[in-house]
Formats: sequence, structure tokens, C-alpha cells
Amino acid sequence: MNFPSLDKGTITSFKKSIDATFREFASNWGEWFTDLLSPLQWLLINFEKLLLATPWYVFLILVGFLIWKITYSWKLVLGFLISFVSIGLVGMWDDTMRTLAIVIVSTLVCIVIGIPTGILMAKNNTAQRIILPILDIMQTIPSFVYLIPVVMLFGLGKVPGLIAIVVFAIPPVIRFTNLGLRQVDFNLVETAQAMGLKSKYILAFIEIPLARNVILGGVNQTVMMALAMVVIASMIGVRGLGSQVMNSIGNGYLGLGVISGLSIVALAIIIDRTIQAHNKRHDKWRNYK
Amino acid sequence: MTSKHVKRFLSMMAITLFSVSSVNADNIKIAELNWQSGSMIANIDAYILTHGYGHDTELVPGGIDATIQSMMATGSPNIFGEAWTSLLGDSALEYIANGSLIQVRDEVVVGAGEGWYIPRYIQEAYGLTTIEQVLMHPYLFPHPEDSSKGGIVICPEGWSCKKHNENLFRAFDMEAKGWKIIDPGSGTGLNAFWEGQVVKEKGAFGYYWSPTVLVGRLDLVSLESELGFTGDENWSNCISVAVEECENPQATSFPVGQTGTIITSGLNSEVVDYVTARGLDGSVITDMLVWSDDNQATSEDAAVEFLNRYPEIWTTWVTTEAASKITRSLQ
Repeated sequence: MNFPSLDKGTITSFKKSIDATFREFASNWGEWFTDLLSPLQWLLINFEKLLLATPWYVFLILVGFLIWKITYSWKLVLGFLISFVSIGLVGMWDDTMRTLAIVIVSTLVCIVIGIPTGILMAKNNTAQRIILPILDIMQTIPSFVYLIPVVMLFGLGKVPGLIAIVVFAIPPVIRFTNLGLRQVDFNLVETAQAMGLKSKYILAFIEIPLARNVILGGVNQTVMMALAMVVIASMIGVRGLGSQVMNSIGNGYLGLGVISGLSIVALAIIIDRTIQAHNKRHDKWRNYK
Repeated sequence: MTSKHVKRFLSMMAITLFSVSSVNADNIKIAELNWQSGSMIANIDAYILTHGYGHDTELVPGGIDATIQSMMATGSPNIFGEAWTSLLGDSALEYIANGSLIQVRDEVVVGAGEGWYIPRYIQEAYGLTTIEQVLMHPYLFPHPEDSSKGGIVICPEGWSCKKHNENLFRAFDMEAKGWKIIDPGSGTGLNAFWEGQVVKEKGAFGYYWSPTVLVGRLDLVSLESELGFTGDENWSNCISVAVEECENPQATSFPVGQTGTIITSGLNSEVVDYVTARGLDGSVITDMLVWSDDNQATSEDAAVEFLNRYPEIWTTWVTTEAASKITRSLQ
């Protein structure tokens, strides 16, 4: 026996009314949203230009030095140099820079939006009850569903790509910030309160520093998810390693797929290990005290 | 596994399925193709042959490859209504050359094919009727990431038309005229680009093909070059090959899509007469596709709607006797 569904006409008109409402919305507000996000577009385009214009040896020296200052691990710096030289040798340098540019900007956007949201959730149980299901939706809804409306609003290119990445990658940084702040030992907070410290100072000098490693773990997750999304983002015209993966799928080029896929993996591993090594060092330093 | 292997595997599967279903040899089997216009034409054929001529017909689903492979191997299905000749492959052309299969028309869909399109409101507002005229106004079609340039949307990576577009971009010397390519990233991206630009009533210029729902619903018009189609030599030896291998591309319109009807030999002569006479203007098909989309109708519904809406077209395909039978059955 069939499920007693609504008749076909009703379902059709329901679906079509969603279509029509969205088209109406896009036609009235599309321009406005595009203008609103034009600073982000400027940032994306120019950051990418900057990375592409940086000579490769300058990039290797600067980033190598940065990783060294963060981790003091020769192994990691060496791993970074080897993998990036290999990426350059197989001709993926420019695409890796493009991917790096959009992943870094997306991560910044996630942090700027995500950490305050996480703080709000930690401080306010109602906010947590409202935001948690929204995060669940953002993490599970198939990205293809919102890809088309996003492109209809913003056109093809970097900004819609960034939005698709942020929707998928922001939940970990929010969740981990919330979790980290809620795990801070309440006795410490209470002591501070008893000594008359204002709550904004408690947050800035006690809670956030103590939750720091957990929050950074969330940032790490966010970077990984942003990297995983670059292939999807390339479906709406974001150039980079993702478009090489699409190219290899479309043409059945196995070799290109392996090379571009491994380049994404290399980026991910280096960023992940850098943040983890930093956290470990930070822990050690705290334990010595 | 490459897509070629997948296709081959699917056609083998299809052959097996088709041969099982070809027990009753008196039936006329019509390939119901897996794209919108192909499936509608198949349904029109089925309706006319059943109700006008009293044949038993059966619709056999399949794509281009599966259908033509099965016709070569087993002689079934009998009618392949909308066959894009450029996509059939060499072995099929051999079968047609030696008479095992018969091609009865070369323009089933008049004006079908790929091309560069603009929305009609842009054409009417600025009077742009050729590719050359559009190319003189890049500022009407600002590139999303560099508004000082005009943007032309081309095929996504992995589609064979990407080469055509890239070579034509060079052939029309578009970089010097202030144009930049917009890479849509995927078929989804391409569709969403057109939908979004037209909903916002902005400028949009670039690749699409017809007959399709999108062209009809968004009212896109295809543009020709002022030079017309400048020859197969330029098209197949330069425009269709990789950019590095095409040194001196010449500007040209896109070639008209050749859509034939392919039938097996030994069909009843009135059936052959019918498919030989049957041809449709691309705009009529587009009209019907938009109707189907608006009503979420099946191809069968669309075929009946077509017969009701355009009697002046289909009555010229059939004998007077068949025409009156069909008219009666529609009432």
C-alpha cells in the first residue's frame, strides 16, 4: 500500500512556490548581498595575487621560518620543504597557492564569526539550545543543496565558494570554543569573581587562555574541513587544487587526480602537525610552571 | 575505470536487456532516449504510430551509446528518433554506409546545437545580434572577479566543448578586446550561473545548447558570427583540438547540430514515410520542454500536449487517414 501522500499537484505547487520565492529574493537582494561581501571578494582576490606573486624561494623561507618559530621542530620544517618542493616540481605550485589563499581566508572568516558565537553559546544556555541544531544542519545538509542558491545570489567565483566552505567548516570552531570554555575549572572563575574581577576580564585572562588548546583544536578541525571542501568549491568556479581534481575526474586522468589529491593531503598534514606541535609545546610549558 | 569502460559496460548490459525483450518481432521498438527532447520525440512517434497507423509500439529506454550499440548488434530498437550524428562513433557510421542501418533525416530538430547565448532582454536593449557586436561591449557583461573586463562563461573542465570555447576565445581575439573567461567549474555551476544572472536581469554571455528547458525558460538567444560557419577544416582540425595544437584558429559560428533519425532496415514503408517526413523546429521543442517543466509533466504528457497544440505541424507528417484517426483519439 502506498503512503497516503499529498496529491501530485499540491506537491508540485509547493516545490514551485519555493523556487519562485527564492528567485524573487535573488532578484531583489542578489545585488545587495554581492555589494555587502565585496570587501571579502577584494581580500580573496588580492591575497591570492600576493601568494602567486611571492617568489617560491621567498615563500619557502618565510613559511619555513614561521613553522620553526611555532613548533621548533626541524622534522616538520624539513617535511614542509620536501612536500612543497615536490608540489612545485609536479607543476601544482600555482594551484596550491590559490587553494591556500581561499583556505586561509575561509579559516579567518570562520574564526572571526565562530569564536564569538562559541563564547555566546558557553555563556548562554538558550543560545546553545538554538545554535546546536543549526550546526547539526550545517554539517549534514548535502552541500549541493545550497550550492545552486548561493551561486544564484552571488554569481560564480570565489565569494560563493567561500560561503560554501564556511557553512561546512565553521561548526568545529564554534563547538570547540563552547566546549573549551565550559570545561574551565569553575573554582578558578569563582575565585576571580570573589576578587572582584569583571566578567569580561575573567573571559579574557582566565577562561580563554585555559580553553586555548581546545579552541585551537577546533580551528585545526576547521582548516581540515575547509581543505576537504575545496573540491566542492571548485564546482562553482573556485580555481585551485580542487579544479585539478575535477579535471582529473572529468577526463579520467588518474595521474593528475593522484597528484592534486596528494597536494591537498600535504597541505592538510603540514597545517595539522604545526597546530598540534604548537599545542603540545604550550602544554609542556604550562606543566613546567 | 574510465568513462569509456563504463559506457562499454553499460552498452553490453543494454544489449543483453534489449535482446531479451525483442521476442515479439512484430512490435515497433522506439528508443526512448534519456534526454528531454529525445524522450519527447520518442513518445510522439509512439503515439502517432499506435493511434494513426495501428502498429504495436514499445518504448525502449537508453542513451546514445547503448541504443546505437544495440541497434547494430541486435537490430532493436527500430527507431532512434533524435540521433546526434557527431556523437554516434565511427562503427555506427559504417553500418549506415553499408545499409545495415538507415539514416532518414539529417535535421530532425531544426536549429539544434551548441553556441554562445545572451538573454533576450540584453539583445533587445542593446540591439546585439551577432557575436562580433557583443564582443564590442564587454562592459555589459562584467567579469565577476574583475569588473574592468567582460566575462564569457565557457564549458566546465572535462567537457569536449571546453576546447572549442578556448580556441574560439583566441580566434575572436577576445583577450585584446577586454574579455576574460569565466570557468563555471561544473555543469551545476553553468546552470546556476545562467539562472542567477537572468533572475537578477544582469548581463550574461557564453556557452549553452538547445533545445533545453533552460534556454526556453530563461529566454536565451543564440548568436552567430558575422562570418558564419567557416568550414569543417578549421573546426575539426583546429577549434576541436587542444589549445597547444591549434596554432591559428579562425573565427566561426558553431556548426549546426546534425540530428538524424536512424532506423533498422525492413520497416513497413508507411513507417519509413512517416519518420522521413517528421522534423521539428527547435523553438517548438523548447516550447514543449518549458511546458513540461512548468507542469512537471512526463514525456508522454508532453507528446499528447504537442499533438493537441500543434496540429498544423504534425498533420503534414502523416497521411490524411492517419491524421483523422489521431485527431479522433485525442478527443
